[in-house]
Amino acid sequence: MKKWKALLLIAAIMVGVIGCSQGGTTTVKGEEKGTESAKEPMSIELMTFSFAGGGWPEDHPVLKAINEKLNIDLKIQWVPYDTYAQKLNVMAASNEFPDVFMVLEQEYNKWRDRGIFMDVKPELEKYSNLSQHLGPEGLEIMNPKDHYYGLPYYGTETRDSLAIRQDWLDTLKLKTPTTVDEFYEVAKAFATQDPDGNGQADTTGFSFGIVNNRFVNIEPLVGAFGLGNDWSDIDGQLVPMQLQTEELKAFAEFMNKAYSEGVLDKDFPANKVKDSLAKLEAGKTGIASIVPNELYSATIPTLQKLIPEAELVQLLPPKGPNGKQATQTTAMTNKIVINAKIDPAKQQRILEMLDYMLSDEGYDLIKNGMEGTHYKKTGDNQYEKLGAFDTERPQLLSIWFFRRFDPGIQIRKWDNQEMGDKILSFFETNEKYRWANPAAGLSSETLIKKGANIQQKWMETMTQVIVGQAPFSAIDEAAETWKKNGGDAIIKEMNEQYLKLQ
Amino acid sequence: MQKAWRRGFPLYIMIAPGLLYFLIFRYAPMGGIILAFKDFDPFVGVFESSWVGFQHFEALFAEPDFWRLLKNTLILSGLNLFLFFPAPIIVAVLLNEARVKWFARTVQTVVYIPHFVSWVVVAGVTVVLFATQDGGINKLLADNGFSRLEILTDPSYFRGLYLFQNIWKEMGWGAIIFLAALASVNPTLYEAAVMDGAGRWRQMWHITLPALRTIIVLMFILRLGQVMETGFEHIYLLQNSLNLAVSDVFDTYVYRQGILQGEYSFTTAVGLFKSVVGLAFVMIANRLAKKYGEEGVY
Amino acid sequence: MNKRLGTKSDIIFNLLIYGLLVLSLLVVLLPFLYVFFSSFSSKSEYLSRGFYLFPNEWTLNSYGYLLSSDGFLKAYGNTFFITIVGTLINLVITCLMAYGLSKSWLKGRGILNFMVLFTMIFNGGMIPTYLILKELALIDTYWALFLSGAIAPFILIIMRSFFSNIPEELEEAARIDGCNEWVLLFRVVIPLSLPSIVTISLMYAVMHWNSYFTAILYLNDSNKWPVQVFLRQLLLESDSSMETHIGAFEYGPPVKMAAVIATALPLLLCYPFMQKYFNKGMFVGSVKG
Repeated sequence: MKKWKALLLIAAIMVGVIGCSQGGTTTVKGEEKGTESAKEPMSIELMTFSFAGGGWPEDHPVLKAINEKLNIDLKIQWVPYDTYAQKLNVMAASNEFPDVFMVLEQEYNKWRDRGIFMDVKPELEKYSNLSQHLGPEGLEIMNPKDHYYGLPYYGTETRDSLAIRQDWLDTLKLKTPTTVDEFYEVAKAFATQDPDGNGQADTTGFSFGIVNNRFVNIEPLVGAFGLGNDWSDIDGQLVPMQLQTEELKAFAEFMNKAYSEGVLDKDFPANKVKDSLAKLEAGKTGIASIVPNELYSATIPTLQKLIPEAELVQLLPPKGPNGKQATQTTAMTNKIVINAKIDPAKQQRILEMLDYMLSDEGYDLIKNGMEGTHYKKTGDNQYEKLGAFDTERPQLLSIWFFRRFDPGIQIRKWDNQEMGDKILSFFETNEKYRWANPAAGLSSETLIKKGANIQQKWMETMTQVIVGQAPFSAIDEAAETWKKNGGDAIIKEMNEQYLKLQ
Repeated sequence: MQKAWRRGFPLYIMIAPGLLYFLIFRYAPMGGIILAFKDFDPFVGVFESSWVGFQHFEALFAEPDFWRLLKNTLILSGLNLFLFFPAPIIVAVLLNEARVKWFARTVQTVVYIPHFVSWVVVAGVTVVLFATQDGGINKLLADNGFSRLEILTDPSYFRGLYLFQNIWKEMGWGAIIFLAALASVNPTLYEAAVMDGAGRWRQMWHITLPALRTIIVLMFILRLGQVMETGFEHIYLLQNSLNLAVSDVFDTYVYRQGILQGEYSFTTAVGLFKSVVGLAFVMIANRLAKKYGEEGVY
Repeated sequence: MNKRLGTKSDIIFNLLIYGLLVLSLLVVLLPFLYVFFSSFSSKSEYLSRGFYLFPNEWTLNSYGYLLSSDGFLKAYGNTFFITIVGTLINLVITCLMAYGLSKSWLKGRGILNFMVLFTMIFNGGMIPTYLILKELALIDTYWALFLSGAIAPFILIIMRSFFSNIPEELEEAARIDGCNEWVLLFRVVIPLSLPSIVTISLMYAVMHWNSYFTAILYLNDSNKWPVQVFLRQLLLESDSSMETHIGAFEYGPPVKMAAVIATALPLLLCYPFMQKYFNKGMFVGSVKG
């Protein structure tokens, strides 16, 4: 009896208070009734994600410089990446989006057609830097034909590459592998013939990881066996990798052998994103995926501190049984959007700001910082980094918010020219082995509702096959289960989407 | 009748700020629970989103892995209740019984530290210790001619590892509640017991443990309310595709299928299901406790 | 001598007690020492050596990195502020309510107790709570943190239980002396309950100290964020597919370890001072047994 009274009371209060709170949620942001004058000061709220080190303080010199240049008052919210999606959802529910902000793939797909992101396509021609420095592939992805509801956050699509220990190859008198079979032989020698000469069997051939139920840092091998990057376009139809059972079996056989012979890192199922790289940096494994931008500044120095004679070179994607070569390829699926509900004059000022960020002057500012503060000029085209660059981190806007389609995004103007060229050559070489996902950026109802779970189930079986806990025939069963539990619907919906956006 | 209210008046005043807090910040948001029966659209709002009835619950119960999730959740929870739960009590009793005070205090401070180590770091240290290839334990085993143990990926180690990490991280912290309870034991009771010739065992059995009985029962009932909570971050970091058969629980499931997908209504529905189960456990336990003369939680 | 050690069974008892304590000391200490010492080692050593205690090469790089980031000290200050003010608010509201609810004769107590327990099991979720805070214009102020977490039901229930353990006779005596409930609470009950109050203060303080998610959600201005947000960001593995790497973070995992030490330190240092409250036995002799 008592409990019922309590529950009734609770219910009454809930309805009361939530009810009241609905009243104020429909107001639209648009306090500033700005005139068209570009000289008018204007405050702009910006939100984007942040990683280690967090964002800038309010009085950061680069922020001040931008404010003065454009006569704006830019307020930046830096939200840690792991909570970014939740923050976006809370803001959506309380109808208080900032003026310009980063949107992640999922929210962009869900909200694109809700009229909350400004269509920037008609504006682009007015802003020469935006139209000049943003590539069409980035603008078009995830957008309908005639509208761009957001600007792309650039990422180098074919960035990562495999790297191999040249000094180990030399010690064991081996040649650089070019096919998956040679890859296997070399990796096996790395694991069994003591390439570091310390008399202990403490090295492995190669390593990778499984993150969010995907094989990561091993894409070149996945692709070499003819598998798609999640999806393949076969005669105009999207086919998921789960159903490429013949290719999967060949891949699994390779991996199973590598695992049982100790060629593959035994801990691969537990590896996180950075683990295979860490093992390469620690001299424990001979082949792993690297990030060229970090190769000369972090990976090689770390490794050489331990083993001064260590030498790490790019390993081109090995050729698969049918001669296929692939490199890790990621699509640009994050978008910078402008709030559609704010004053049009403000929208133009924001576009102006974004345009400035990509101009020669503005891009130099958000990428390299300020001359005299973060670096100094020492001669013709010669610069030297100053200590303030590392402490004040003037590059944050270009790293975590907006930038040109610039593969050299991490190369600063004081960096060694030769090193910069080497990094860029990585990307150029990789570009030849592009292994794009034709369905990148597409989404489907069933994929959202069931995708993650059936993917996990499928990966569970794949991993069991690789470590020998399940027979190869389990791959066929896993494909059937995947289809039955939602896969069929996903294939249908994804193909519909695919046709629509083509 | 009137008198009881009047006598309680100052107490009601004391309760008022807290009650207000509960009403505004705890009960008012509970209106959001209706989202479990709706398809939440953030741009339309909590109340205007369309009703879908029990659709999210049906999806949950129709999940092919539902029984696996339930089984794993309850087993891990059972481990927590029956094996982890006593650990802080034992620590508190041991500290209480140790008569060399500087030693007891040192131990007390040390075992309290791990509470401040985040799960991410605990997971990192676990890998350093237990990895098959380079883990400290396995290096030791391999150097001495034993075969390596796949502690991180072999499902049979998962539950033990989970329990051990929990005990390592939280036993010292959990002990502070029991230590506080022991602080209110009248020291003369021990003196009297010594006079009566009671040994240390009997002192512990007849003075220390009875002093803890109320708080133990209370804590146990409260823990039952969390029976479906197994610690998301903890499990997520320990999970990999080879131990899913024992490590996949509702917390990780709803993260993957609800939170990551931005499916707010589904997340709420799973949360509501977990809460209802927790409430049922608490109500049964509370009734039992009262039956055996304990005060209970409400 | 024999008398001091007691009987044979007492000796076994002592051996067992100290044996178990030493065991738990070692089990806890070894992994923690690894965390501690690796915060002083270089990235190369950390990655290559596996489990070790003493670094071959000591370095303060990780701590240098933490201290050099301008955000760190500011955030640390915020944490102190949030913890101190938050805990004070918690203590006042919790003690008042717990005392009220500890009286078994109070009418309506059953319903109120159930209401408290209910919120431990059911909650409205992130978005509705946010909407309420927004409606009350608390977003982006510290009040959002203080008020939305003014009482932890778990701690309230524990405090209530501690209060109700205070012998009724003591209070009756005071009441006969003409004390009203307020005087009774502040003059008699609270002084008697110091060990439990210290305990729940610690629990609340640690709760504030460790919280980060509510701060990110409720505070838009990152200058107001506590240090835990800063640390969470250090622990974030940057998404491999995005170009988010910044040069300054090349000290690697040891920085994470340093971060653990740096944030845990104040709470570790103040612990021994708190211990004296619950080790001494604050109980003033009375009838309860």
